[in-house]
Amino acid sequence: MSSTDTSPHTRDLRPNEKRRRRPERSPAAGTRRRARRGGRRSRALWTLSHCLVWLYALILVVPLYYVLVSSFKETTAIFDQPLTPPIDPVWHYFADAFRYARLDLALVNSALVTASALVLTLLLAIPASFALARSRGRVATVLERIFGLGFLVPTFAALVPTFLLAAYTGLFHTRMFLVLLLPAGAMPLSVVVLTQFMRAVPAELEESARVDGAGTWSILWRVFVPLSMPGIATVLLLNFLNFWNEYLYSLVIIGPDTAQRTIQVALPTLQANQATEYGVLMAGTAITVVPVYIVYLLLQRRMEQALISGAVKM
Amino acid sequence: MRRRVMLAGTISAILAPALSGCGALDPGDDDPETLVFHHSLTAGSASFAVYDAVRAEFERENPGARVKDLVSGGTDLINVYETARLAGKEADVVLVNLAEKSLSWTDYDATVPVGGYLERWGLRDRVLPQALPEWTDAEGRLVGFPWSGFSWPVAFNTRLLEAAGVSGVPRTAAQLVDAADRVRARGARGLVSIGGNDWSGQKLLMQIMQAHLPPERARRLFAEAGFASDAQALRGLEHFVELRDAGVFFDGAQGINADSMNSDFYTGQAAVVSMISGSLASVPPEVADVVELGGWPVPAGGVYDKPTALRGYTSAGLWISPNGEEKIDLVERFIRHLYREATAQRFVREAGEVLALRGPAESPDFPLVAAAVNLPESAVSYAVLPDLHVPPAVSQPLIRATSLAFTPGRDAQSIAADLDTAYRS
Amino acid sequence: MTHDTSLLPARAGTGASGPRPPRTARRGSSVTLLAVPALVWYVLFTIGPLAAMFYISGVSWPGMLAPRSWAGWGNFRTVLSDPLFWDAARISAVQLAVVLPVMITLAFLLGYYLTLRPRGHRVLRVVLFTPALISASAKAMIAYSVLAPDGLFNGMLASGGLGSQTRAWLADTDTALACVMAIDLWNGIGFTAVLLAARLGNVPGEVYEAAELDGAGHWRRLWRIAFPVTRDYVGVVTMLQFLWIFFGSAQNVLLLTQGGPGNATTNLSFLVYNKAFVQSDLGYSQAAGVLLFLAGLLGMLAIRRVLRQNY
Repeated sequence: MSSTDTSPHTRDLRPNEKRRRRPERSPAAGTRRRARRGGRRSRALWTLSHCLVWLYALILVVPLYYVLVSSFKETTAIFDQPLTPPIDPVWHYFADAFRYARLDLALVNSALVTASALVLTLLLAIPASFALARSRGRVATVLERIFGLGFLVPTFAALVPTFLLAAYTGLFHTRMFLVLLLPAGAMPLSVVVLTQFMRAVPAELEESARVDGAGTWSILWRVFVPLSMPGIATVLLLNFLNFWNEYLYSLVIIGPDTAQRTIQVALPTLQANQATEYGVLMAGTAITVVPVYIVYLLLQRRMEQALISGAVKM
Repeated sequence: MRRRVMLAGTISAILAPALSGCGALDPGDDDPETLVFHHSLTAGSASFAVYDAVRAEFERENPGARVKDLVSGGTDLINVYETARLAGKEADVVLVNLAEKSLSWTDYDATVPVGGYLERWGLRDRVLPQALPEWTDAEGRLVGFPWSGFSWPVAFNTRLLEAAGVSGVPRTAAQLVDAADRVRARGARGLVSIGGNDWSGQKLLMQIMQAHLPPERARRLFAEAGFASDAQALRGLEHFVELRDAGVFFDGAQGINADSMNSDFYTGQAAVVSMISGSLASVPPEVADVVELGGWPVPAGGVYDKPTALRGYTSAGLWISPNGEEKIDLVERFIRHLYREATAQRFVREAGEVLALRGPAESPDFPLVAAAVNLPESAVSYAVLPDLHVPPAVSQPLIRATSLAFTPGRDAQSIAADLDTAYRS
Repeated sequence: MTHDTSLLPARAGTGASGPRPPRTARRGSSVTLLAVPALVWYVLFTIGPLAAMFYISGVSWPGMLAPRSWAGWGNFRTVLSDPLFWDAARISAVQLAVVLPVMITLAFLLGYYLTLRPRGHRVLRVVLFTPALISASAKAMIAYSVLAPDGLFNGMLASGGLGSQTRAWLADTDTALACVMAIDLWNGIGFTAVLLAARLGNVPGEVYEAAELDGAGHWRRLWRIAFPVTRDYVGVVTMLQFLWIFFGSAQNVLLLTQGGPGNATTNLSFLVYNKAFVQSDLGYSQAAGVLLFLAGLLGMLAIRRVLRQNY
C-alpha cells in the first residue's frame, strides 16, 4: 500500500503537484527557527501553546488508558485507584465480555457486513466514477450535485423511512439490509474521490488501448482501475471506518439478534452488567477499539490521507 | 479477466455465509421448528442461568425443536418488538411486563388474546387467581400468560443503622429524617440510595407522593395528570421535597440508576433502599443477614397509617405474537413446559423469582425474596403502582421528569409542573 | 455542495480541468450509463428515504402500530406549537453556538501549531486522530466510564481532595448538556486540526516570507495570512462539523443520557429519534425531521456565505 506521492504513477501524473508540495517543508522548518529567536514574551506564549496542546493530547489518551487498565481490575480497585496499573491483573473480564454479549459472533458479523458492503461500494462506485470522469458538462455537474445532496440527509430523521424500507422489503432484522444500505450512503464520497483520480488518467493511455482494440469495459479495468489504486485504497479505508463504526442504523435495523448484530450494537448491551462488574464493560470497549487502532498504526500515513481527502471533498 | 474472476470469487466467499448462514450466525427465524423467544434476561444473572437450563431441557424433550433467544434491555424490548411487529418480523413469544405500550398491544393486534389458549391447554388452574384480573383488559381479554410478579418493600441494613446509632427500623417520616442525619454525621453520602434517573426513582417518587393522596385519586392522576392543580398531590410532593432537602436521599440521586443503587446496597454503602424482589434476590449473603424488610415510612396525618410498599403480578407475562400463532403447537409445548410445576419451582428456588403461578413459594437460598413475599399485612400498607395507569407515551418523559424531582432546589410546584409537562410531550 | 476541487490540498491542480479530446463527447453518452447502477442505488436508499420523510410528515401516525391517516399540515402545527420542540431547538442552537466556534478556532490554532512541526508532532498526529477512529458506541462507553458517578473524573476529584465537587455529571441538569458538548469538542478538535493542518501545510512559503519581512509574529501571521488564505477551506470544515453536530451528535445523547435529565439534553436530532422509536409518534418525528433538514440547509448556506473566499 504505497502512499500517493511515492507511487510511480502518481509521480508521473502529477508534476504540478510535486512542484507545489515541495516548498511546504521549508517554511515550516523556517518558522520554527524564527520562533526560537523570538522575544521573551513570544517564547512564553510558545511554551504555553506546547503545554495546552499536550494537555489536550493527554485528555485524549488518558480515557483510553483508563479503559485498558480497568479491563484488568476489580470494580472497587477501578474506583479507588483509577489510574494505577493493575497490580494483580484479572483476566476473566475479557472472556466474560465475549460470553455475555457474544462479542465473538458480533465481530464476525461486523467483518461480514463491512467486507461485503466494501465490495459492493467498489462495484458501484468504480464504473460510476469512470463515467463521471469521462463525461463533461451538464450531465456530470448534475450528477455531482445529486450525489452532493447526500451530505444533507439528517441521519436521525432518515432512519424512520429507511426502517420502513427495510420493513417493506422484508429485510428488516437482517445484516443483508445493512450490506445493501451502507454503500448507498458511501456513494457520494466514494464517487467524488474516485472521479478525481480517474480524471488524472492521461487520455493517451486510453487512446492507445483503444487502438489495440480494447472495449470500454476492459479499458476501465485494465487502464483506469490500476492507475486509480491510491484512490481506491483511500475509498476503502474511509469506508472501512464508516462501515465498521456504524451504530444507529445497525441498532434499529439489524436489531438484537446475536446471530446478526454487529459489534457496535453488541457493546452497549454490556452496560447492563456494569453494576456488578465494571471491568466487563471496559474489556468489551477495549475489544472493539483495539482492532481499529492496530489497523491505524499499521496504515497511519495512508489513513490520514484517506480521511483528509475524504472529508475535504464534501 | 483474471481480476474479475478474483473479484467474483471474493464476493461469493464473503456473501455466501452471510446469505445462507451457518451455525450460530444463522438467524433461522423462518424455521417452523424454531421458536423465537424475546426477553430481557441478562446473561450472567441467576434467572438467565435457570432459563438456559430449562431451554436445554425443552430442546432435549422435543427433538428437532429449537428455542432462539432475542435479548433486549428492559425498556428497549418493547420498542424493538413494536418495530419488528410492524415489519412482520416479531418474535413468537415475548416475555415482558404489562405497562406502558404493551397495554395497547392487544388492541393493535401486536399480540393475540390468550384466554382461549389458557382454557384449552388446561392451564387456568396453574395461575394464581389474583394475577388473572391484572392481566385482563377492559374488554375482558386475557392479554398474556401471567408469569412473574413482585413484591417491592423497603430494605434496611440494620448493621449500618445501628453503627450510626439508629435503633430500630424507621417507621415514620420523622424517624427517617433523624436516621439520615445520623448516617450523614458518620460520613455517608445519604441514607437512601435511589435510582433517581430511571424507573426505580419514578416508582419511589410516586409512592412517597401518595402519602397524602388517596388511592382512587392517585389512579386518576396517574392516568390523566393534573398534579399541579391537585392540592393533595402537591402536599405529597411537598413531603417528598422535605425528605429530599433533609438529605434522606443519596447525593446525586438524580443521576443514579437502579443498577448503581443496587450496587450501593449490595456493597454495604447504602443503609436503606426501596428494592423490588427481583433485585433482593441478588443481595449478597453477608448483607442479607443484617437486612430487615419493611415499608416506606409515612408522615403523621397522611393517608396511610402504616409504612407503604408495592406489589403486583405484572412483572412479566408470556405474550403470543401473530407470528407465534402460526407455530401454535410449538408455542403450546414451550408455554406448557415453562408452566410446569417443576420448571416454575426452579425459577423460584434457584433464581428467587416471584411467580404468578401456584405452587410452594419457597426460595430458601433467597431469604429476602421469601420475606418480601410474606411481609405481614400488619406491617405495611400497599400503595398504588402507577404502571397500569400511566399512558404508554408518557412513561419515558415521566421518568425524565422524575430525575428533575430528585435534583436539589426543585420545589413541589415545579416538580408537579414537570410531571404534567411529561403528559403533554 | 461539491466544492471546487482546487480546495483539495493533496490533489490540487491535477489537471482535472484540462481540456479533453473530442472523442469523449462521441462515446460519452454510452459511458455515462455506467453511472446508472450507482445512481439507482443511491436514489433508492438515500434520496428515497429523504423524499419519504416529506411524505410521512403529512401523515398522522400516533404509534408504531397505530392506524394511520392523512394529516396535512397538522403535524407541523403540532410540532411548532410544542414547547418541547422549541426547547430542543434552543438546545441544538446552544450546542452549535458553543461547540462550533470553539472547535473551529481551537482546531485552527492547533492545525497551525502542527504545521510548525514542533517536537513530537508525529506522535501528536497519531493521538489527535484517535477519536476519528473509534465508533460512537465505544466513545460513549469511554465517556460514560469517565463521567459516571463512580467513574474516572469523580475518582480523580476525590483523590485530589475535591470530593465535595463530585457529582453525577451526565445526570445533572447543570452539567449534562455541557458534558455532551465537551464530548463533541473532545471528539472533534483533534481531527479537525489535522484536516486544517493539511491545508495550512499547502500554503506556499513565499506568502509567509513576505510577512517575515514585516517582522510579523505567529499571531499576526496566523490571522493576517494563514486564515485569509485558507478561509474557504475553513468554511468547508466548518460546514462538515456543523452538519455532524447538528445531525449526528445525538448519538452521544442516545447512548449516554437518553435526552435527560428532564429534557436537558434533548436536541432536535434526538427529539426526532425519540418521537419515532420511543414515543412512537412518527408523523411528529418526520415533521420535525423535515424542519431539521431545512435548518441544516439554511445553516450550510449561511456558513458558506460567511466563510466564502474573499481575497
